[in-house]
Amino acid sequence: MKIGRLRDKGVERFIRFLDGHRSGVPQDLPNDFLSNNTFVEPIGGDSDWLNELDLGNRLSAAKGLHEIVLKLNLTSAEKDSGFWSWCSVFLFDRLCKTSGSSFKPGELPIWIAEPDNYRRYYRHYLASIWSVYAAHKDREDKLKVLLNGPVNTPGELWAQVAATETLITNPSMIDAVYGLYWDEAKHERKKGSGGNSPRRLTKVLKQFDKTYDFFSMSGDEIIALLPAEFDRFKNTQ
Amino acid sequence: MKRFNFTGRKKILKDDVKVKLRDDFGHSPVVDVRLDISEYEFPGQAKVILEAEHKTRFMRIDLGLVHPVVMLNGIVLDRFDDAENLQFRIKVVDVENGGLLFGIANKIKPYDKDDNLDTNSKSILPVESKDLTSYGVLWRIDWGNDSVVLQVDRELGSKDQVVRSLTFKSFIFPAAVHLILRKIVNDRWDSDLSDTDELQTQWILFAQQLGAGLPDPSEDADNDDWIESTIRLFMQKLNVRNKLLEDVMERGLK
Repeated sequence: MKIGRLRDKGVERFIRFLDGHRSGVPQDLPNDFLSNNTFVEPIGGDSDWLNELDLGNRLSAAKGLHEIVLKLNLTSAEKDSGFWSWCSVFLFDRLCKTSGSSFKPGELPIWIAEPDNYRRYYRHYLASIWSVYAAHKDREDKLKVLLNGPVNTPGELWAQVAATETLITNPSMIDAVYGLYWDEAKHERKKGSGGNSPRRLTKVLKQFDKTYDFFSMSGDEIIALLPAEFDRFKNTQ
Repeated sequence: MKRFNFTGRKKILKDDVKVKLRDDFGHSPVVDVRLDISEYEFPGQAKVILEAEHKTRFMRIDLGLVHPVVMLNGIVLDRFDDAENLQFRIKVVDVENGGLLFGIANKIKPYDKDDNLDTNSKSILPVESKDLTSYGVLWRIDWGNDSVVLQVDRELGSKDQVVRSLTFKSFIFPAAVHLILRKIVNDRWDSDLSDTDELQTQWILFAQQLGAGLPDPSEDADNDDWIESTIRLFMQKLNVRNKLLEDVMERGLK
């Protein structure tokens, strides 16, 4: 079927669907929901492109989503909440966590993209990873530190860095996070990079943000600023 | 909690910065920028940067090296669809010394083509009309990085219509102010009130100007009385109670 974007009625219906699962009283979507003109505005392309996404790898999925955005010629994809929400519906069965036979969808921002609210936008499984990939695709080799793991398991490092717009928009910050937390020898994140350290990192960086212009600095210069508590992550590539 | 600036970073006064919107823009806003920074004695090799932001959108523009007057006209902010609630920041950066900030001006609001500041910008609680379907409410407080906006559902009508209504002034506004003051006193705030760009400081000064005094900075203080005083004084200033009661009487609701 054609890929589409949810209209307002489609969003409302989808929210009822999600709330139904959260409250334990599921309300199924109509069988033709994804192509029903009441709920969906068709865009084009082929939904099989979404089926081909590797949802077990966030970087790969982000790259695939970017290719879809380009193929559909979505020039305002960042703001296209309806498109991202349609994709959420289409991939719901593959993305939603389960407990026994029940879906556990979690919070609404995971499924309904809100481009105007950065505190919620970064939580959308699909829009957020696409947005970061699109902004930093020239650093694809370093994005893996933030975009590792399955699409539906973002992790604490992502939650901290992506939630802070002054950090996630800065290419040097991507370099710094990579230098700090990626083990190049083992091709994985360093031990301890997913615990309390990311939360401490963003807290420290917010303090330094009052004194330094991070955009004018390299990733190494940012790392050099960090206090002793981060020494175990420094220079341990 | 006291905040200290150990770094020698200078605060650039808003009076020395002017960002003005042109009225001839099509898709994206276009601004002219002028800075008068001769008195700050910034080094000549430092760079001046303009940052524009709103919600998830962000742009940086290089205004060049420090001069007594820094000007750049016709800056196209192509990452933004319009100028609503657009805010700016000016940074003077020591690019030769690891990005250290020599000076900064935060929360710069643009002037319109007639040299007026947007009235919403002047309000301590800007109001925004938007689709709140996914929130399931008709109004909510939206907390930004260092800002707060009262959002009302667009189905209620235009923002201007809503804020002028008695219902809004009587019921929504005081409830919103209560939520904001509660969060401010519960979070850490600067008892010295040294940085008037900080959101908490602005609201506490607002309450002080109304006559409510300052909240108790002790950790175990709940500040219920201070919050209630602030709201009472604020509502007195709005003078809505009697107007609403008159309205109720006229409509025969009582």
